[in-house]
Amino acid sequence: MVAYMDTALMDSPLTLTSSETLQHRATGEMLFLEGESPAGVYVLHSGEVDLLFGSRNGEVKALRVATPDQILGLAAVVMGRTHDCSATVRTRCEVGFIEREEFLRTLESNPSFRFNVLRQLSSDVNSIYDDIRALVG
Amino acid sequence: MPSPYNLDVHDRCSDCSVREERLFCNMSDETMAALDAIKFTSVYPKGSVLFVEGEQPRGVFILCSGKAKLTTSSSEGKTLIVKIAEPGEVLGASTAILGKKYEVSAETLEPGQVNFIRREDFIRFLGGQAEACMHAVQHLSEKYHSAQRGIRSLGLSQTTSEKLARLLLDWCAKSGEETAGVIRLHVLLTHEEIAQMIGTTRETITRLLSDLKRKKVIAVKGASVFIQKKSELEAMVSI
Repeated sequence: MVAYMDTALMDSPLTLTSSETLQHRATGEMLFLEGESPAGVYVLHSGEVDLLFGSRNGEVKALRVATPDQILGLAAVVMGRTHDCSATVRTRCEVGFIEREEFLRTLESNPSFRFNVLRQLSSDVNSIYDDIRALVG
Repeated sequence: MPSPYNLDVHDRCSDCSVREERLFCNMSDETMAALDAIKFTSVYPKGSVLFVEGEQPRGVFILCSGKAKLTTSSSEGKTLIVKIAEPGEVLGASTAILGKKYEVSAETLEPGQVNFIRREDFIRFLGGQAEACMHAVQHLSEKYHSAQRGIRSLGLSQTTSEKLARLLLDWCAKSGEETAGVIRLHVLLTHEEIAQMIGTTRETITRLLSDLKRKKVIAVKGASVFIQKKSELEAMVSI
């Protein structure tokens, strides 16, 4: 039983929950702002989203471009912290929005969902190392 | 019998006196007993390589005491320290979960206890223990947040002196001990390693630290750095 569950967890696709609200967002629209408290997470189904940092003197720098299947705002929602970057729609996209409380409830109660979130976060952590390598050259 | 390096070694996680202070390890007795059943306790000297970038993941390493540097190499062969891991951190978790190659190398900076868990056991542990999986989610979220901060610091700083000022301020916030307006930092890194933290050369770090000493912003005695004018460092940072 345990072995079966492990395999199932590791092989399951990176899908999240049926409680997503689908939204279509146009180029230039803001999904969330750096420093804002997270209202929920956004599952990017199609299109691209720019993740941006701002400095105190108003300078804005692109961190990376989020692509389909990525979940935006995940770490901020889990940790209950403010967003550490802004997300702006780069090309028209379809996103699934999951409200924060619903997300956290599902995280607590659904093992398969929890493991998928864990895999997504692992992937996010690994992608940061790519960003660092790109920055240093 | 004295323990290696006079470390306070905890053979059983369930008996660990500091586990409540640790994000991942602060779990119930039942979950910790399950962890005890799959972990191997080791004590490593300074300079031990736990894993190397590009290797297939064998498992995860829980840093119980001591610190470790996580390094990566750029396409041009530059070594960059992406993080100084602190006690309580789980190293290699993201790669073990994804089954991908290690993205970074990990090397101990001081003697310390490290608990190793084989990848298959770790995955089974996370799958079977809801509490452990939740703690892993929180641990990785924290790791992601902290790595974002690092990127922000690297990416938004205009100059190397600004990057160095940011690094010193980060250390002040994390582990600085303030006495009469002066903040003491215990720095385990060489100038070469500080350079690798902000993507510059050892020579530049030596020159910048000398400048800061000359302006009496900092003073250095052995492994201790004393921040005498924190406000001047803050003025150098635009982030």
